[in-house]
Amino acid sequence: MRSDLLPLIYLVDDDPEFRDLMAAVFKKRKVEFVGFDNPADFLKRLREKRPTLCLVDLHFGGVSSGYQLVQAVRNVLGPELPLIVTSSTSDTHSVSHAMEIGATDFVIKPVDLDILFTKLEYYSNALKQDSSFNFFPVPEDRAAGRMRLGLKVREIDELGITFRTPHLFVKGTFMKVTGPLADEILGAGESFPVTITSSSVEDGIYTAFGEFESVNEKVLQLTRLWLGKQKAPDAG
Amino acid sequence: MAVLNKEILVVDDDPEARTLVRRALESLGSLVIEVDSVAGAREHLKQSLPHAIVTDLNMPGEDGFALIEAVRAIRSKKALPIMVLSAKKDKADIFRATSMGADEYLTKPFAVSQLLQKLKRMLKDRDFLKTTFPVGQEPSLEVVVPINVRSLNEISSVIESRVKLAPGGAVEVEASIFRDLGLSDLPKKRTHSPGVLTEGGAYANLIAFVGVSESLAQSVRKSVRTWVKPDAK
Repeated sequence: MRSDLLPLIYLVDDDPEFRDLMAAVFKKRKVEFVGFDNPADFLKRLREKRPTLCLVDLHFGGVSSGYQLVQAVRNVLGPELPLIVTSSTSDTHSVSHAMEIGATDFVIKPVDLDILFTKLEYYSNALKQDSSFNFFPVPEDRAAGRMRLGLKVREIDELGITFRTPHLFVKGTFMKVTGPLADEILGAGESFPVTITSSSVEDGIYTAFGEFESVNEKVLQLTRLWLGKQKAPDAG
Repeated sequence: MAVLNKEILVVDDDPEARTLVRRALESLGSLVIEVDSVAGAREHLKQSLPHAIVTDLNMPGEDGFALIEAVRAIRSKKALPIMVLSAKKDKADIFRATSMGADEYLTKPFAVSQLLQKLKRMLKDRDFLKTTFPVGQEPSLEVVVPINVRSLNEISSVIESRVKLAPGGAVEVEASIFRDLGLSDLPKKRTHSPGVLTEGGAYANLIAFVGVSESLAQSVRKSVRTWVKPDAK
């Protein structure tokens, strides 16, 4: 890997062995690297010199500190700096939450160096995309549109739908879900009104739960009826 | 709370009895459906699966025992609990109802508090209905998500939505601005640049238009320059 692709990496992690390992790895690859063992020094340096990319331990100093660090980086350097969080393998909900509040990507500890460097190169190349095409802001009254996305239903129950998707849906998002299963349960052309209430990620695929609108009695009743039929046929 | 927002089917030919039960259940936030016969109950069960049934035994036509038998033929206790509310106090009737599949038995006249206590217990133990699809056989559904087209140029656009898109794949987006500029029919692809969280809690994703011709590029360039000055992405 060419070092000019990765000029400066900051790592904040309270594990000295991990910091030493990363220092050795980056040194070998001729990448400038600075490790921090406390948030104050890290944030101070961030303000002084902008890195190409940050690596942040999601569990630095306890349960919520990693999230606070992610938010602090975004407050200091804005939304575009690539920020990769590191986390343990069992913590898919935490990773998903970190992505929602501003992390760009994640790597699971113990860190696979090939995966790490693939991601670092990817984000550095993305940064280096030099667009000679200026972007023109679209007038607000002409900006509205819509996007169609596919989902795979993992499970459906009386409260909602668990689905898998490569995309991250922000918690609290309300949406209408359509398709053959909705047609079968609710009637042709009908949709499930759901609000995303939880999300986790594993191997790059998000598993999210969309909770049914509790006031929509028709959806709840028809779904319950359909679920009951899956257990035993209705003899009428 | 176990009874909140649950649908309870009340089966009794006595309207006063139905009203009493309905008021008690609605006070706890249940949705109550009343029918005055077993035939009415059968009809309702074709259209809906209540969380529980509260039924009298002594009714003209089919009696409550027939209803219990019919329900248990297709629904387990865990799926659809049944409470009997009856003036019949014979142990034989109580035994018959419970052995046929009733979960609770309450004799009339009853204390409302006792009714509610038994109902809560029934619903608490009720199985939560769900269907899990095996991996590889998950049904596909689609969602339509609103977007804002934040900015664009001849070859790409930044779109904002409450979804951070996975990089690299095709994207199906519609917007009047794309139609106006002649970009609607072009395939669109999510680029590999990271989705960026904006201040409003949405994600800004960069998408590329695939196959923009020189003439279309000129046309777009001409149109967008009539808006405002160029923006840093």
